[in-house]
Amino acid sequence: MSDPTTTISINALTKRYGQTPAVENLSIAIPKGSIFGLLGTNGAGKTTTFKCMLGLARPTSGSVEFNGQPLSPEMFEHMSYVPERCALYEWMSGAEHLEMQRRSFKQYDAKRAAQLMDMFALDRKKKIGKYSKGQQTAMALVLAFSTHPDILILDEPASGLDPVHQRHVLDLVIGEAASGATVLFSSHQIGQVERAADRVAILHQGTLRLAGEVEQLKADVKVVEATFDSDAPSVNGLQSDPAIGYVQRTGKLLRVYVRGKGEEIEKAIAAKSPRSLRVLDQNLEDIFLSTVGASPSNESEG
Amino acid sequence: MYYTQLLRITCGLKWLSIVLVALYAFIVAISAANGAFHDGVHGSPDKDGVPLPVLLAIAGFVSSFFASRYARTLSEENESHLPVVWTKPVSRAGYALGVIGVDLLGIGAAFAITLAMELVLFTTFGALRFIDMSADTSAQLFRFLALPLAYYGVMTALTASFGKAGRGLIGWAWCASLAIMLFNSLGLPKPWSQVFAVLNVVNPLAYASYSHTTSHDTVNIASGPHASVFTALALGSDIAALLLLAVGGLVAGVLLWRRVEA
Repeated sequence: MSDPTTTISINALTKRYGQTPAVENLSIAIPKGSIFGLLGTNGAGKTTTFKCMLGLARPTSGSVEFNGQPLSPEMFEHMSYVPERCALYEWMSGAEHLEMQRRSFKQYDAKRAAQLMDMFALDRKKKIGKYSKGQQTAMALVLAFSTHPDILILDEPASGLDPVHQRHVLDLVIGEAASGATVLFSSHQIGQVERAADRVAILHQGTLRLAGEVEQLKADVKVVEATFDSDAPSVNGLQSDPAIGYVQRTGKLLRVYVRGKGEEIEKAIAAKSPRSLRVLDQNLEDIFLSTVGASPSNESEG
Repeated sequence: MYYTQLLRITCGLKWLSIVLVALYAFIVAISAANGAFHDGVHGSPDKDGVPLPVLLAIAGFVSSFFASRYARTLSEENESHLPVVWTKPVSRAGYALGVIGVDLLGIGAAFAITLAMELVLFTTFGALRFIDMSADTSAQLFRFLALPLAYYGVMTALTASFGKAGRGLIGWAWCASLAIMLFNSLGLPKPWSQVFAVLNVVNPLAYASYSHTTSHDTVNIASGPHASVFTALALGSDIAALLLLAVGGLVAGVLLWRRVEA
């Protein structure tokens, strides 16, 4: 029996294109009213996950349930999706898209649509093909938010938008969740995710690497940062420690991303006589980078 | 729900009307320059009449081209619009059938507009009385109305699984349709004659042949000196075959489209 507090339940979802896995055995439960951020590098499987969820692609195995039920066409009356790439009709105007939405959804709210068109400064008479990429994204968002959906699935919703409109999108997302909607969104802009999302999942190479509440994840991971008088020493001896997520060495600076409080790692590094040593909280970007094994540094281990 | 299709079809009908009016103006201008109006139209309607089925055939072929354009609507949605189309509160088959319904109305309208323009042209030249209403006019009307529907069905089935490639397929399908008809009528040796005869079974053109002999001329439409075996079919069978192609093609097209992935 499904958990009544869970709106979206992804169960052991696998999608392969030929022999190439795009998503592998993915299971996520998204609680009602939450803002769930899906993070991952390009090709991590975020868009494929969305497509499988919405029936736009057939999963190789696994299932997706919305409020305990498999997807059905009627559910789209209460669900909105903004794809990563513009799927609107270039030869139609903004006004014609609004009309299309009005005729398709019973819950369409013309007043709200008008407010959103004004907010994004979109010209109704202009053809979508004449809109900039950011305006096309904004138009897709107007359509998505104009039906007061219970479930919003947004793939890179701020893509191409200027910082002012990016902020508008975040405010809209937060506002919808405050009204009881469940939002699942992906973004490469981790700062936005950190600001809006209460839960995140990190996908890498099609598999789920980390999932949980943002605050909890931040509390669970630390950075042990040390500076040395000469080049930072190698920490090869610590590599086998499962608590270590990632090691970054940049000249005299050594950063070790660890799960847990990092006390053992701190002691081990202290034994290497650093000039300074401190344990810092990680932000979501640090967590993401340490989880996917990437770093802005050009010298890294782990 | 089918507003997008309504816009597409309306736009198509508008352009068809513009082209037909331009063609009409061109013919009238050329005729006026050659003094056709001054000389008037002479002759006896009994001997020199134009059979109405010829006008119906012209409307049938024009609306077949029109139908071909819209036979790739499902394919057009595959190009990048599936995230919009498939996230509406309607089943895929329901959406496809709605789109097809709009298209069928549009094809009917294209047929009517073309026929109307033909009649206007005849009226302009005072030649309306030369139109010969032969006995099987109503059956021919059904046949040449069924022709674009058959093309629409067959081409929908051909393109439903494809995205942009569907555009090229329509052009090639027309070439193939004409080529099969041509090769089939050339009386080629076996096994080629058999191959083209089999291919002709799904060729709408094979069921659209019309022949009429006047006092000094013979009008042949979609038939050559070695006409297809299907030209020997009774008119009712031709209509049934065209409708079967239309329905079969549309069912196949919808089933194929439902299985496409975005």
